[in-house]
Amino acid sequence: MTSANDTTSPGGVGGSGYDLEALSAYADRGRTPAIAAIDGNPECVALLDSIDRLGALTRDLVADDAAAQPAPDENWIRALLDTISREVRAGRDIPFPDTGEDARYVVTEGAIRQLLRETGDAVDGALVGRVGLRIVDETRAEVELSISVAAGRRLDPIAAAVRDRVAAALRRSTPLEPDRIDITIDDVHVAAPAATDTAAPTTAEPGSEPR
Amino acid sequence: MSDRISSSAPAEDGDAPAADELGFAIDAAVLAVPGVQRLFPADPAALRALQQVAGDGAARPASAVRSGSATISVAIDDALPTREVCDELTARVREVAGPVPVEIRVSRIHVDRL
Repeated sequence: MTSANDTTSPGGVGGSGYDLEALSAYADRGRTPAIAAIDGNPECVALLDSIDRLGALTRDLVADDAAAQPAPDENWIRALLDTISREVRAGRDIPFPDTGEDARYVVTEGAIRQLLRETGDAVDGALVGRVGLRIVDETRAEVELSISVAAGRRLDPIAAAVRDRVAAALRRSTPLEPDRIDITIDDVHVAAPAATDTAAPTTAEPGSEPR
Repeated sequence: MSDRISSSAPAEDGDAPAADELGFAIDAAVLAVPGVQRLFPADPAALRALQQVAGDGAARPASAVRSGSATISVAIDDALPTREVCDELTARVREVAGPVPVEIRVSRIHVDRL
């Protein structure tokens, strides 16, 4: 896999001069002392927020039952951060229509991808692995999300919740209407089951993609 | 904050201190809009580096006021529709800077329900 260092060169993440390793260290220090080049860079901030979220998830998994469940795979976390490093790139500006001649509103592609990722992550039992966003035109987009589902949880309700919330988020926060939203469950992670919606431990298969 | 607010026309090119003062006033007004989490520098990093050198390292506003228009880059939360937040931002900018063209770049949309 290509590392974040390679994918964001020559200027680090978002041209900040700081690569994924440096941002991880900054996150570990609680973002102190403050570094303006990082805190003022939206791509760095998005990546830092993801690092914080993954850190919280990892602590939850370890605290859940360290003896019975394997520790989170460091390579898995690294690969996920590499993916996020690519997704946070600002990319194109997507304009809102009909703002008049003297006003222009745009949302960056990177902001939209992170919105979709965080919306999926907010669904209990889901963890987004990859966000695919294809801008069909200035008003329509196709979304492909790969997600990991907590072991022991039913797959279909979680996938449906992710799809519904992603559609709502796209409509509320961007100029784009979803043409299609595909959710692929391509992994299962170990986590504490919720009080409801539990089932026997399930392994997702690529063929189980709800559409 | 009100002492910084002016309804006068925006600073002309080359009037950097006035543009900065207006920029700081716009920053303050924008940050007070519900749903706005933070401001990012509107100018590219390379341009800001040059400005820092020219200004002896003095703090600069995140907003850019240039050629009679105002540009801001914001992080917002997803609780309100982005379009509504942008309309409110435009109104606040114009309260400060007058009826200027406004460009708003939404660079981050934060989900609060994590």
